[in-house]
Amino acid sequence: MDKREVTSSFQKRAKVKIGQIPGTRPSLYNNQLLISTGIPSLDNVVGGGLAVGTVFLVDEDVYGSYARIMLKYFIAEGIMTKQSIFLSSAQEKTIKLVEELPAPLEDPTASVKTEESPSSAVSHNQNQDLKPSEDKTKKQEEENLKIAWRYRSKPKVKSSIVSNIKFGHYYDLTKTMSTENIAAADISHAPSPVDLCCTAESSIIPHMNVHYCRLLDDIRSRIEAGKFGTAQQTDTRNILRIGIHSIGSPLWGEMGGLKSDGTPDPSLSLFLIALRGVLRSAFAVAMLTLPGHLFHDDLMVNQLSKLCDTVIKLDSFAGSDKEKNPAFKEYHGLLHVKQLPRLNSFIPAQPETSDLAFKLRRKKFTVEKLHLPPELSDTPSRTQSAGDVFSLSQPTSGCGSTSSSKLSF
Amino acid sequence: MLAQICQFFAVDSSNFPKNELVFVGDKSSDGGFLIHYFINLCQKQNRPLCFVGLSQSFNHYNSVAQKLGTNLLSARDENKNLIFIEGLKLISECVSLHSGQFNESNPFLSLLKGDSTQFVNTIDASLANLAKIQSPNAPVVIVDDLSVLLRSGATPKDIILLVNSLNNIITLGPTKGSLIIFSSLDKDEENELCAFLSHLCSVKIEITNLKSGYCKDVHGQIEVLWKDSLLNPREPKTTHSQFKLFDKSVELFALGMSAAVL
Repeated sequence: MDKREVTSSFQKRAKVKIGQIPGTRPSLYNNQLLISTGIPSLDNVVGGGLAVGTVFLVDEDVYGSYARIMLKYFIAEGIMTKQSIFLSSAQEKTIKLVEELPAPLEDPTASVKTEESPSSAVSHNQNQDLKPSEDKTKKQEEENLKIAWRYRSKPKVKSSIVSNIKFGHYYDLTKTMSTENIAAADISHAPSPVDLCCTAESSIIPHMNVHYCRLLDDIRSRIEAGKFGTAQQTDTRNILRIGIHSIGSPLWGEMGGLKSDGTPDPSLSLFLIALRGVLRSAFAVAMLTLPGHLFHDDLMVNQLSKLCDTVIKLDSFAGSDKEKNPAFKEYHGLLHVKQLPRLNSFIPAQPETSDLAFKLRRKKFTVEKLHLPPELSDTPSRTQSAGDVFSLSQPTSGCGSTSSSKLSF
Repeated sequence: MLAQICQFFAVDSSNFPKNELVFVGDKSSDGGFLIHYFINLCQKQNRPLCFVGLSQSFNHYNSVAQKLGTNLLSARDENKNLIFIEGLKLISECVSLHSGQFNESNPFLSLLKGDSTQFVNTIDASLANLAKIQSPNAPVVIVDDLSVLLRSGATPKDIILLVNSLNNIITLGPTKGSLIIFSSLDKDEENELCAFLSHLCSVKIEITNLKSGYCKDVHGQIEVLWKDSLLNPREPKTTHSQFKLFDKSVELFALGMSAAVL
């Protein structure tokens, strides 16, 4: 949002060329500067990536394990693109989180190629890259269609969502990132709220949770010190990735959104509003995971979601009866896109379907379409060539001809 | 977009918010386009506008306004007919352990502590500044979005007092201005604040999701209730419509008349 300074926007753009910031790309949709979540298929679902200056909230699965993996991907992507990282957690030492980061795959392009079906209608560039041998197998495949030859020209249904532009890395969860990579990265750790149990300080606003206040102060001073603010001039512009693990868990002094006397506690929502306010004028993106099931009602989680920009919810099958459901046997859980940011536009990016699932392989975390929505729009996505159903313009060749249309007898 | 919404409201686009208190209750999350409609309307009429931005920063409103053909930056800095109060930034300054020097003049700090007089004084001062430009039109005050105050810990009682004071100085006072309050409310949240605003306002606009769930081609439903008031005597009436949003425009159509189902 605030990639330009308000008063001196012209000079600033001349100085900081958008493409020069490592690991970013401008959105084709609304011209925002985007960074990758570390999971390329998730980037495509949330509209190309996370816009700089926004808050990304992940409503955790019940055991919190997949949300933690996503956070690790987010940090690892920051290290690979040489961005700065700020971490905070009440659950564990953030050093431990960094030590467990997955190693990047050596040749990520190879896996991208296998992922994409060559006959898809959109991948023109991909087709040109194809080696002749691959092209031959493709041709053979097409000729082999003996029964449903009508569908020969149709694009194959791709359940996984991938774009052609290379953005974001793939990681291998079996290996950990090399220590040189980690040592070279600019990572700062916020003190855990559990260590700081002294409550001598108090916030300016009465009854506000002290831990959230301290965290926000830390973020502010990190932005100030690293020159990530939009108002600050710097020669080497970079992005700050803020990762906050399990905010709103009881270890932060949060009691499910209630104060000790049972009245609603606005601390967390005020923190999120303030965080948005801070990030809007900084080259920073925050990823928060939130154990939504620990809050006393869903309304509270919905309200918190509205105060963030991009919100997804992970719904893991682990421990639920869906685990044994054959319809879901390929997947590890469902992914609900609850909210996408409306940036410089009336509507957010419109995903093709909101019915998504995720699966975790050793080398890849992928988000896939579970089902396609019914085709009921006034702008059909299914391309219907004129020759398929009505070919009235073509001369018909009488009865029994395979090339004639339905209307000619 | 301007013409379409004005046509649906059946109002004259050259003097629409005429001494009204408009309450926009957004029960979905797609109602934001109305805020941009009102900003655009005021800019086209060259009307003095005081905007309290609580949910987004100035840049967001400015970039959408640019898409719609108005420049808020020049309106704010050169023409001086727009005063933008960066509410989001001011609220975030309140969340800190160190009380900085800026905190004394921050109207939101006292508001969150339960005292709304400083906030009302800020609006009053802004209106006085806007009066200096000698516009023939009465000023408009837009608050986007009031529910942010509720989320950040102000009690419904304090907000009701605040709205009442704002209403007194803006619409009932000698300025004869208009007040537009935007509030995003959850479906289950029929609280006293909502009831109070619905009662007080002269025009109530309600935006809801489709009951049948998400649809790609119909984003929601809009209902406008024109109330009879002492300031604006008229026949009370209600109008409905459904809408589909585009990148920078909106399509309004009668209920069930979407191009997708016809």
